[in-house]
Amino acid sequence: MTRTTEEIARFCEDVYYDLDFREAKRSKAEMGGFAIGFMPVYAPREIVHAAGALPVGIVGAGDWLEVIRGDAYYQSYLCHIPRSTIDMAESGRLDFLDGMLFPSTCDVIRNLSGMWQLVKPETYVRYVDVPQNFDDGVGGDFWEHELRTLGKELGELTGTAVTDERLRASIALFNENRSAVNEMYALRRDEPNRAPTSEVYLITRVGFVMDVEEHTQLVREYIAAARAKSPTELDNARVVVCGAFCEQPPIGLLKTIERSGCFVVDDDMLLTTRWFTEDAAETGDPFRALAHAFVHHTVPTAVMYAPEAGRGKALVSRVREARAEGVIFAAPSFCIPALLDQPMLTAELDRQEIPYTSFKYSENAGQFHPIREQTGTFADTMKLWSVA
Amino acid sequence: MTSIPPPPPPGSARRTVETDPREVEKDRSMALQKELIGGYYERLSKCAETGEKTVATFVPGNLTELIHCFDLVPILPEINALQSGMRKRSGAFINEAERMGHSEDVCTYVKCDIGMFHDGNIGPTGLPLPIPDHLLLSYTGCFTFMKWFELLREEFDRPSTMLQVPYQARGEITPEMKSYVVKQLETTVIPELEKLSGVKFDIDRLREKLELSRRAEDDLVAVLEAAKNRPSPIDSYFGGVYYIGPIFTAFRGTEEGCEYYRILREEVEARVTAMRGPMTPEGEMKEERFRLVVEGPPNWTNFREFWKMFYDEGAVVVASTYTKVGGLYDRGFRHDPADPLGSLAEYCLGCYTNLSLPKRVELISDYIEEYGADGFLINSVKSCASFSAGQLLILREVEKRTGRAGGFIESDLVDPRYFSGANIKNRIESYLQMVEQKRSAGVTA
Amino acid sequence: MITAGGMDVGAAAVKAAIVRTDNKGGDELLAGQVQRIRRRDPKAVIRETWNAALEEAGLPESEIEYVATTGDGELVDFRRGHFYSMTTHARGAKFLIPETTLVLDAGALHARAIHIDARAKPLGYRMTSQCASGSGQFLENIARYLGVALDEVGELSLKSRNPEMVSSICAVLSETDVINMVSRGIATSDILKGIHLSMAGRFARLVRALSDDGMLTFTGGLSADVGLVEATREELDKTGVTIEVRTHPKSILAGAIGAALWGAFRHEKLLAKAG
Ligand code: SF4
Ligand code: SF4
Repeated sequence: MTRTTEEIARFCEDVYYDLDFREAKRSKAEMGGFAIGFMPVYAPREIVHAAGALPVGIVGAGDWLEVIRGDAYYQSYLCHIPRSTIDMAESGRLDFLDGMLFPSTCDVIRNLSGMWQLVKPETYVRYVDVPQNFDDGVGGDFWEHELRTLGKELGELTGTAVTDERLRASIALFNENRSAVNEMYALRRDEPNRAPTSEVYLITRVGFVMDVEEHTQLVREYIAAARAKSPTELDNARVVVCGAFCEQPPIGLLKTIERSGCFVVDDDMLLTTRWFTEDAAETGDPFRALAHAFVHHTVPTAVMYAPEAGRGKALVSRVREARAEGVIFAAPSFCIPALLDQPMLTAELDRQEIPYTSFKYSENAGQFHPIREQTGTFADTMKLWSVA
Repeated sequence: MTSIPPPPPPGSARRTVETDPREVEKDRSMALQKELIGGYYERLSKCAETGEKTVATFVPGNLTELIHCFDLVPILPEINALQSGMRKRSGAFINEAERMGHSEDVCTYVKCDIGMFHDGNIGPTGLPLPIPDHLLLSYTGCFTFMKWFELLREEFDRPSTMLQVPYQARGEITPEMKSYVVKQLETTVIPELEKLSGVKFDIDRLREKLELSRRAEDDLVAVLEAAKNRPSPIDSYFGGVYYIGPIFTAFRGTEEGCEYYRILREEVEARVTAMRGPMTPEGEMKEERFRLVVEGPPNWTNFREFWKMFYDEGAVVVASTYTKVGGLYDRGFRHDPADPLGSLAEYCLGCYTNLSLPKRVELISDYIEEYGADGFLINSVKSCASFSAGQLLILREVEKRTGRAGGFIESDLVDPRYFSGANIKNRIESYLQMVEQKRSAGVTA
Repeated sequence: MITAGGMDVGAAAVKAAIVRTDNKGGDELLAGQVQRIRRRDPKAVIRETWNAALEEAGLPESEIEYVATTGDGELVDFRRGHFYSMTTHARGAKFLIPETTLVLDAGALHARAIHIDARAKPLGYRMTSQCASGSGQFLENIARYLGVALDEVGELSLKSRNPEMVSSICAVLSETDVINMVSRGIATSDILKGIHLSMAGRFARLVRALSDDGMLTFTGGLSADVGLVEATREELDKTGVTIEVRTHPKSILAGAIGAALWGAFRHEKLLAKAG
């Protein structure tokens, strides 16, 4: 029985709203009983997988968890994702995780790795310190060693050693998954009326709680269903959403952007699923392959150092590739890397005369009226007043 | 993030002239420090004429000795920002940056610096600052650093070099972390500085400088540890930010720096012998009523007002974490002429903001015990997630471990909009009452 | 010539318009329909309103080259494009009264003043805050309490001799005020005028924040309330600005008309792009 895109999206939405992580627990059981959580932006999921554990993306609790305990941990001037995350930990929702990975995204997540050690002393915690030096022999070597250590520790935890063979197999699976997700993104870029972002997002997102092979299948199923349907032509403005790489915009916000007359044709949400711009090699030393892919084929994002000036150029080429008419900067309130990055990006957009608008959100925002107004007028500006 | 002696307050507002410690006691160390800093800013202002080249860098993980090996002059944007804060100029700079599109939510040091640049780039002493010839991004303990220099690079298009310093997530420095930093020094930092200066790297020259660093570090530790005495001869936070000034900045590994710490140590040891309390802007603190440990940076825009809230109550800070952002010397680290690059790497790795949260809890708890503190206070600054994210947990954990009362106040570094004097004063007063109660309860128990 | 349709889906009513235009100023309204939703399935109301408009225009659906929505447009599954209500009301007002420089869109849930240029491009706007007392919903509640049909409210208000001012700007308190007025025997027309003046006072503040001269056109659900329009005129006059206040019998259709006209504009642009 084939499902429609709407049906697939509805299934994903249920998974998305499920704070009991039933899908993850099911996949964990099927994989052999281990699950390791990771936070944004990037985590080497291949290693986790090769150790026989399910990598589970923990990206906050959105707008459907009333955060009670989390606010006791954080001052008002810090973003929301760490509060909902620690709240989930405190209320036992994350007890099914056998460990947590905290990538070097920003000081907030960095410090959360230490808080976890204090709050959940019984779980495995590792800070994933990604390289900011992109020489194979320097940053590459360091990262390779980090990956090996992670592999060794996870192997000890699960009892399944991360052998080269296992890791190569995992790399292949994640390469495949990335290529499926990229294909879905390309479809959305070319025919956004077939694959709206509010669906594409959910399809991508469930990959955070699902076995990778199953997810690849799901993405393919969605692509096929999207290709098969006969959608109405929509004359929307094409935009790139930028800055939403960590704390996630609630799904209602994405729908709001679409309802206001925009097609989101590229974005930086859930970036870890599309981190490498070229596949990691499936032959040779697999740790080396992952390290190599990282230092050479990492997607440009605010949390990665740019050795040369001109940070905005990468965004401009994304805009061009996606044939977008404008950029919506949507950053979490108090998101340090996104907000520090923005002036560099807008400066370049100004030079290229690419229109943009920006707002901040919080994962638990429930009121989108002002945003609808802002993106609505922005869309109209592009459609009615732009010279193009 | 760090500190340096503040310039004298603007002439008009000097009601405390007679009671300024520098005037009252005329400590030689203070005069010397004033001279050092003044000379430093003067030197910077003349770089255009002298042809001296400059390298901007950050206090945590600064490589001052190495920079000096190439006859380059370091510029420290954090220091410029905090100095602007003390001179009440930061508010306007921050406004300027926000007007240009910088978010209200990000570190005010960055905005202060960028605003200053756009406002003519006049440094804290009123002399012009040069545009740095190179940005040496010592990426230690703070993610904002990276964005800060990327932003500057967009402003004035100078090359940048990244020195990534891995985070001590498990509270230890592994051999791989160290060798990663050393490798970057060898393959990137040194070649870049050679290229910039035209000076060939001479490791023996570096060794000499590190020997000077080591000596000054010994003296600094003696000064800080003098606070274990009762009464404490120093305030390790409000006074401490003065003491760390030279060594955290351009004077580590210099003869002048060494001299400063030698003299400072003598002065402090003399105070210990004389059983004298710490100096404040209004003279010597007579009665030591509370001994506190403080976590978090101070507020700079209202530094003296803030300090007064403590000494008026007889509260002296006996140890602080902020004075460790440029190195945890009191925990044993020394620059080592025998292992020049290795010890520079360890230095970078060991700064306070590069410590894991559990390590910070441990350090604060240890300070409380070692320095016989009655309690500890956290000043949580809005700007700095590196410090602030997790401080509420630190508060609870340290209370749990030490049984001592913890206090929590909020302010900002250089954004005057976030300093609510009345509020903070209230909090401090009621906190000290609590300490008092706890203490007497402890005595009767 | 391009034939285009516009659907304005509001909280209380669905409006449909069909226009024919050369996109050079030769705009013609072929049909305009309004239906209140009244707890019906909005999608059904949309269909009905649209069909009625097609019938009025005497056109088969296939001849409509572009259907644009405004308001809750996602409910219209035969739409091609969507525009924000500010953009469409501006355009609709300009169509109805070409001299328009200011638009006051007063609907069921909010009111918004818009300053526009000669191309109907919004230059700036001001909105009432969340509070309900500037909205149609509020007026409807009062009318219901007074036992007056909504479309009689305007005429009654015009008859007032001694408007009884409400003391509060808060909707809830105003309603209490009105209850007291009724028990004090105040004439219904005076109560209504008082309410109108209170709302008009807020509108005038929005408008004056944008401009102190020009031509103000009412649009939206309340544009048919002549009492409210008159009260707004009075309030603006009081402040000494030279703003002429107008409404149009078809003002309620402004959003739908604007959507249709902008749709036609987009249609031509897309055709040109496609070569
Ligand atoms: S939302 Fe931004 S500031 Fe917050 S944890 Fe994520 S990256 Fe860090
Ligand atoms: S965030 Fe903190 S450590 Fe980083 S630059 Fe700002 S004040 Fe300094």
